[in-house]
Amino acid sequence: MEKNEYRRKDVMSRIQYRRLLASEIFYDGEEREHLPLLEKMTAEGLLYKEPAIREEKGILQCARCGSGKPFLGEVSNCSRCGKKCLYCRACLMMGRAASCGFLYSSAVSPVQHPGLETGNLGWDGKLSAGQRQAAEKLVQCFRSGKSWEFLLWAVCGAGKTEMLFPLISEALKKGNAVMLCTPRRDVVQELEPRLKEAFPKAETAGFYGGKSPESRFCYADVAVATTHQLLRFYKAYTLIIIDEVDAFPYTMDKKLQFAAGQAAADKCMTVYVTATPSRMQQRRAASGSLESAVVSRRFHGKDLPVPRLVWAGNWKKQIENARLPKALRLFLKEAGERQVLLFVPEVSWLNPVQEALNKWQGNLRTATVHSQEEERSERVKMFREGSLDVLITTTILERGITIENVQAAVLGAENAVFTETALIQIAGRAGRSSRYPTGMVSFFHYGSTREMKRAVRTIIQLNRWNS
Amino acid sequence: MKTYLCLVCHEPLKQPPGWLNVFQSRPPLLCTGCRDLLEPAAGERCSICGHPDVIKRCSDCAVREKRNRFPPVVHRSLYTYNPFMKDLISQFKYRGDAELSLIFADDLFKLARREFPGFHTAVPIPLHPTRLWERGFNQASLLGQKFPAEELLIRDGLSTKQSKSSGKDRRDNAEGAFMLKHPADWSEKHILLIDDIYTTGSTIEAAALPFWEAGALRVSAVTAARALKKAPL
Repeated sequence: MEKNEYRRKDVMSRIQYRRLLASEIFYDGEEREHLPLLEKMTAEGLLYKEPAIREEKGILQCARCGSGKPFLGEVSNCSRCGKKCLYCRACLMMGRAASCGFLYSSAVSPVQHPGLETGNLGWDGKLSAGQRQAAEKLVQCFRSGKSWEFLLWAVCGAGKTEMLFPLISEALKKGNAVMLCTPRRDVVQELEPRLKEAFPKAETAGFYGGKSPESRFCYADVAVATTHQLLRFYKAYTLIIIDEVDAFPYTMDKKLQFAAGQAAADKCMTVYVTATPSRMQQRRAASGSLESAVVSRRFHGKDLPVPRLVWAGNWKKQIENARLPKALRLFLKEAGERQVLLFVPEVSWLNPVQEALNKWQGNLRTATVHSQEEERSERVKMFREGSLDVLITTTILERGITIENVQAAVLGAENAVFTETALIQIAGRAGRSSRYPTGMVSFFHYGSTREMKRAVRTIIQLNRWNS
Repeated sequence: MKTYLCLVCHEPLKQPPGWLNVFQSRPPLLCTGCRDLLEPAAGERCSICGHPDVIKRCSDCAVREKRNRFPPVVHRSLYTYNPFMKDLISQFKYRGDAELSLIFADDLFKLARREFPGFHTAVPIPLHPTRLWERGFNQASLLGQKFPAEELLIRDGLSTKQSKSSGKDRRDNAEGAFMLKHPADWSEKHILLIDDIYTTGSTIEAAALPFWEAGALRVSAVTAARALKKAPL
């Protein structure tokens, strides 16, 4: 009996703020034995359950992630229900949502809430005038409870996270847990400790794939999650902050919207934080249908470095012959002792470029990174520590990485992967610290593109705005 | 035009334009990138267990032949169990991505017809009911969906997952774990077993036992993946 009581508590603590499959609630196995308990708790009005695959207006979709037809797999003779059974392939990594399975959510208010002191700021830095203005507008908006969408447009290196502290503090003080969502795991891992430091009294947690089950379902006053993990939360938050909205690829974007909608409580303020809002967002902000604040100055007050567009000729051919384009050689010479982030359009160019670099100057310490690279975080760490001179990368490092006094170069900037937003982000890598507020950014190309020119134009415009 | 996604990486399939695409009713399941990561278990191999890069017979099979009462089960695999295959099988089995069975179903049937022409019946290796419930499907049955397969075996006793035990444990675990659903006379018949992966062969041997005892003439096996031995042969 006592054991059962304990188990009930466990269920309620795992399920608060969330909506889960039975296999997630009982991740330690023995799902089957515990199904009656879930049934009982549902009957008692503690839990609410709904089919994991639902039919809406004749269209079948996964109730958890909203994926439809091409992502629904089929088992013709399910060994649980004995019938034809569909399951969702899109969110399979979080447990199998199948036609004969259910999603459970809490029918009562959550067991835990942020305490009174959780909102106390442990951060004693100062906000710049621009930052303060934006921060105040955010807090006001949250207080008024009028506007439920907010665009925070802040240039790379404006100190976005700090600007959010007053808002998060406000929400916590009112007893509301806060959700921060960001596209990449690396960013979750970087953001979570910073928030922990800023809110020493609050419980913070990062949620991303590959974490141990115990920490996967824990409670947090301030949660930082990847898009996928956001799918686990349900009707829980009155404040959701989505960091780097533009970093989500288009298909992911739809998923994110869905997930954010699911995680939001009936009344919820959603803040989109970005350095490169889409044209749609810009238009909506200008017309006033989307509440917004713009911070066009970096926190140290200096201009954003304006990229140079440099003709590199047929760089592909040169790299294939293990030669660096002359323009790039000059750039590297000019960079001298300073570290360089070198972006290439595709993974297949990483090694040839590294070879060409080493052939040109054998003593240059170089490394390559891409999304599938297992040593990615180690190599980035080495670069951070200064034990590498040049880090050759795909667009994976275009954002979220802050390294003092780094210079940025793009080889093959004409490639379609380098969109305006990607290029602005890349340019934003340089001159981020107040000790080294300037830096070189060059786009080496074999024929300039509209995206490159737009990126330069936008940066110049942002620089002009506040001066 | 409708775009199709690769079953594994979910990227859109890029098909070169051509008449073949216009007339082909079904697009390929995998993109060329993922397809290339599959390593066919072809070429020189053990005449019994099908282990690649062995001339005539591998040492394990030689030992087994001396030890066992019954003739060895001849086995062939589609692909080697390389890291890509490992991910694929775990996605299929443990995550429960049943759809992935389509990658192997057709080829497995072709392999069986080529290597073991004239088999009388095909039998997927069953799962223990508890495991079957957990998983939602039997991976071997799905792999055998293109066969005229019959579920003739039942699994007795909940053995620890084979993938978590090794060597001798595996044999002890699996031995005597299978029974015929209905007693029958299988004399002069050729039985083909179907499973997802062949590691040491102990599961296959154990599943073959009831058929040998019922007088089977031959028992063969096909699997999707073949684990390679680490030790030199």
